[in-house]
Amino acid sequence: MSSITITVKFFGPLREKMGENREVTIPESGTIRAAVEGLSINPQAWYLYSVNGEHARADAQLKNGDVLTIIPPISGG
Amino acid sequence: MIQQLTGSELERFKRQLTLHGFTMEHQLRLKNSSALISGIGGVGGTTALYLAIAGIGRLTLVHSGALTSSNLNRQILMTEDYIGKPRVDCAREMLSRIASGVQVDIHDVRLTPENSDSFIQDADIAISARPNFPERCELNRACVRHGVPLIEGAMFDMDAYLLSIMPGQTPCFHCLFKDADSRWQELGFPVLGALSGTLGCMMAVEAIKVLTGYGKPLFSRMLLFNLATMDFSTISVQRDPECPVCGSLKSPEGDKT
Repeated sequence: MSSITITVKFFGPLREKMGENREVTIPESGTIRAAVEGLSINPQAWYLYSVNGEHARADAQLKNGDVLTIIPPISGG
Repeated sequence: MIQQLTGSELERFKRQLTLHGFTMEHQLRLKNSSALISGIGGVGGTTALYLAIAGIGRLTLVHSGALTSSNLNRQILMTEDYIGKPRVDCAREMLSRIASGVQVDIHDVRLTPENSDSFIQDADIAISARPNFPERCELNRACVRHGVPLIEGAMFDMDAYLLSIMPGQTPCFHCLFKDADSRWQELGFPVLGALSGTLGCMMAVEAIKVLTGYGKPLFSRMLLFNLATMDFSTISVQRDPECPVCGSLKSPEGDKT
């Protein structure tokens, strides 16, 4: 099975845990959910996702070269 | 009744009345507007200050709690002599000294399902700046119920996000964040005053734009920034048709937001 490589960017508390960004390789036609499950973050937590600057749902398919941003809820005020 | 500017107000605001495209009509809309600010911390206190000196007519400040010395690295409306006293008292005193023409109403309480309607019903806009999810979620629900626009901004460490919400037209807070982070510590997140102040200033700008019709608010767009790297980006965000908070509100015909 062929694979794709995406860049994952992290926001807020995830940046502390994961760093600025990571290259992730997943099977072709893999979803955001599949990419997140491959990371050492809580896959059960709620995140807001964007792919290449566009809001995306967890079941959205990714393609090679996509930039996925993972935004956890934050509440500092 | 629409209130006109006094002679001293004309003098006070003459420099912002020379902003490109910002007219007397915009200034009058601001004077005749009321903002509910939920949270008078490093973010909301800064927003309150800049709305006041821009000439908003009325501010309603809702914030529970007394001032501590650890608040003073970021809360520009607070003074050392108020440590141990309600923050909203200090905020009103400072605002009255800086901008005496603004009516400031204060409430030393948390925003709850029991009191949110009473606070939002007279507001033309709301500012979400409390450091916890329950109050942010309740403010969002109240704004959707009353059709009041909401400026939503939050920070953590050197990161922050900001967006403007128009109920029924743009995503609401719940469209974007279905669940809170259960590990979030209301009094434990890292904060640099210059960052919370930057976000508070930006929220004031957004509120002025939404209230007056000046500029282009962050409707259906979320600004993300990190001040450690000075990276700024904007992502598009969409409504959730199944959203239990705003999903029943229909978008206007042909609305692209």
